[in-house]
Amino acid sequence: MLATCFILSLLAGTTDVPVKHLGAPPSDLDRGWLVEPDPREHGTRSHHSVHEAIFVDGLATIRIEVPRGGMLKLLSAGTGSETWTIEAIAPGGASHSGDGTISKIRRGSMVPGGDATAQRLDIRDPEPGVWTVNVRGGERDRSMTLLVEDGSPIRLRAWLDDYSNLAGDTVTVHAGCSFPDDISINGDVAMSNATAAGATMLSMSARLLHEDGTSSGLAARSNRLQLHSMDAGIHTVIIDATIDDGVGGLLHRTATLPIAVEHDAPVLSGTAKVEPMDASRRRIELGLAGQPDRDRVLAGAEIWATSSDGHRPRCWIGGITPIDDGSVSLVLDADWLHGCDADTVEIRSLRLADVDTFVALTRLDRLPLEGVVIPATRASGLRTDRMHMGVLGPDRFVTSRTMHESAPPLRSAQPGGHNLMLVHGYCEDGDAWPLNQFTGDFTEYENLSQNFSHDQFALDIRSFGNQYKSYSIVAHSQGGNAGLHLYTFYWSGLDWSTGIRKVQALGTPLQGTPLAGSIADLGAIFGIQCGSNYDMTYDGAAQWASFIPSWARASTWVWSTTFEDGWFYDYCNIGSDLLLSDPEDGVVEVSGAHLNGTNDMGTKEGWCHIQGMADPAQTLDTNRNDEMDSEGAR
Amino acid sequence: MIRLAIIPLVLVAAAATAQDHCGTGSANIPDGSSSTVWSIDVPGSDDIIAGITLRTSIDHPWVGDLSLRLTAPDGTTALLLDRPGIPDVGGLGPWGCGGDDLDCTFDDGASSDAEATCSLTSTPVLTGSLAPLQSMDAFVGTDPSGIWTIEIVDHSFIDAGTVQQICLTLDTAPDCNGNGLPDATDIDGGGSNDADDNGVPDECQCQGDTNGDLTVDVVDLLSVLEQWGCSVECTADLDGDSNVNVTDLLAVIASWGSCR
Repeated sequence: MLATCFILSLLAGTTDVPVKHLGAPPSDLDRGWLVEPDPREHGTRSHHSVHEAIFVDGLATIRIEVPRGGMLKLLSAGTGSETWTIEAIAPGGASHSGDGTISKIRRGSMVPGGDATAQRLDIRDPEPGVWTVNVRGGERDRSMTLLVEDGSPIRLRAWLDDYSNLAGDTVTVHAGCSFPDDISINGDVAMSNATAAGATMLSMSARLLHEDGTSSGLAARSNRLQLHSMDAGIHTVIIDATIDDGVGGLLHRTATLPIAVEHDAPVLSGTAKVEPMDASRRRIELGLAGQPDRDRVLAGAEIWATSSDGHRPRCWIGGITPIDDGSVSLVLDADWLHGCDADTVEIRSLRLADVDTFVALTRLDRLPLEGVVIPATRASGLRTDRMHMGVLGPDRFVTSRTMHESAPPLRSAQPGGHNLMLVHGYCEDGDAWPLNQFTGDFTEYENLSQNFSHDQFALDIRSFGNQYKSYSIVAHSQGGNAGLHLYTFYWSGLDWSTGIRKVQALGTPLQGTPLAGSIADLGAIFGIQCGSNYDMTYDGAAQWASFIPSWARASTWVWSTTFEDGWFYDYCNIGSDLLLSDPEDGVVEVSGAHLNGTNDMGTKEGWCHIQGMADPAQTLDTNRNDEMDSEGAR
Repeated sequence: MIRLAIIPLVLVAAAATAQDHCGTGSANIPDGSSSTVWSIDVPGSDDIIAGITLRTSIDHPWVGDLSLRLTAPDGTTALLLDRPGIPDVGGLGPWGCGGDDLDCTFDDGASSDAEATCSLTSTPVLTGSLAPLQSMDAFVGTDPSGIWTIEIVDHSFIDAGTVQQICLTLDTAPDCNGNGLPDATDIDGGGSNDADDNGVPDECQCQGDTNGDLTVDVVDLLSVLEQWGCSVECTADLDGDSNVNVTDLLAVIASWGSCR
């Protein structure tokens, strides 16, 4: 067995990847950027509902509550849906099937990147009450899924009690309704506000979706449900709720909440040993009780100390760190503590998290640090890069499987060159970037149909990039997360590039997208083959971003796009339009594409996420590509 | 009283002297495994090398491309720099140190190794005194005279550079006994006696020769007698004890004859 493992590891190839010792100023904590996110402010939110029915004699019928709203959208999906017909009958008996005045049929790709086409029936100013939706043309006993957006602004939100969910734990999920303006505040508060305005959740049911597509019911009590003795992995909870909108209408909402459950959490022993590394840097070795079955963690901690202005945070330190000999280590540049009393230094709010899901494995509120020698004068001087990233050197590595070692270089991208690296996104099927629009030295990273975590994606980019001396990244979608992740946590050719724009990200879900989780339940129907991706959910993104310091954010340039809001259509994709909040590009909401501290290059109308949507693919914008080409570091 | 013209005894012990010798050559470093060779012509000298450093000023956007080899006129050679950062032991990546420019002095006595010095932000990246990859000790004790060469190779395509200046700093010193060690080293190390403490090994001196004609004869005998009892500036004080006395007389007698 061991021999087999050894041979497999040789075939796979491994490489030592040097990691950075991160440091960040206390202002990053003041802004809340490096603070563990509050799960009540994230989770998921939905303004749609999902219904299912079986065709009997070619007819599937579903009855839905429709409140008073602006537009009722009904998307029928399933095998062969492009040939189905859809009819909606109002409470008063009026039938609508897309006659062009009050109702209209939209056709298009069912979901971003999917091959299947679908049709959607849109009905303007629908009469409130119970509607009957008849879908005809399906084969006997086949199922039909109906996605409904009813135009009411009320969202169903679902959120976790805690992000630190470990195998065997009981996971608690909360749900409540919320108005759009409260979408980013504490879910409990948002629910109170909604209740004060008259909106209340009347009933809720929940089920746990299994990997094989089956599901099992969950007991929900009030607005809360619990999942007991969870196994490690990504679990998806689907919540259906009926809500009284407070103005005389009822509405349905379906929310999908992916939950990451981790295992093999390291246990801190509560000891810390401080050793000098050079004039200013101190290695802090945190003892572990035993050796967990994992070789690395993502760490983050505040460093507090007393000075003339009191006992305050002086910096944040962190990074990916290997677990060696029963300990994990952090590196503190004592220049952050200039002027402080060495006897008062302590670690606070320590987190050890999983590098793929960012789930907190272990926390420690505070731990005094003895033996931190603070230089009388700043050893780093004005060299803040040392304080931010540490020092290049054989200090700390993690092992990475070599994934992408020898891709053929393109055109001007000679081995050893300095390039702009064009990087695609999640589950790419090819041709993300128009190569003929880039005239400077560039190369193209391509690893199609993958569903990577940000960390796996970053290491894959790095592995490919090793054939070049230096590069910066022009990334689409998740490629931007991966580029920023790479620049933040690992030494790579990005660090050697000349120029300030290290990562240029377009349509990147820096704060997540609801599609990332919805794919778990709708992906099979929609034909999305790569599966859900926890890092791109709202929760995953919030946890990831809480380890990204300001200096890394400042090296990232971010663009978003949205559809042309015209009279004929106001969406990029007829399917994802029901899952996303406007403005959006068909995959990523504009609000999720930007992150505080990055260089916000704005939102441009008339461009969608990928080809095959209502507007051209955002990567085809010649003007932006020209800018990214000329301004990117190399 | 007749005073004999006194000529300083011999060879006055010379301290090591440092001299810069700067080179000439093509400024352009060809890109991709070609080399440029700079030459430094060091004039003839009876002295040997007691110490050596090489000062380099090279503009290059990726120092990990470069190697530098110093070769003496007698063919002795030392590889001073060999693509710093390669092989990758410090996480620099497969292409070595990507910093810009050298403005440094290769010096065996430096505390930092040139091969291990790298920074993302410092330009020039190699600066100050740096220890070479191979020691320059092999040059010490050799004759500095002749044409020295410094070969600079750019081992990778893409980035090219130029040489601004290369200078050898040679500490030279006499080696009267030809053993390849400076006289001072011989004396300090106990390999040679220096009875008169004049910095010249005794084996290089004509012991009883008071007038420097390399012959010990009656003139020297008379000189001792004439200066008998002298304690200051006495050319006949052969043993340097500030007293011309019987010891000096015996030294004349003991080394009677020609020193040639």
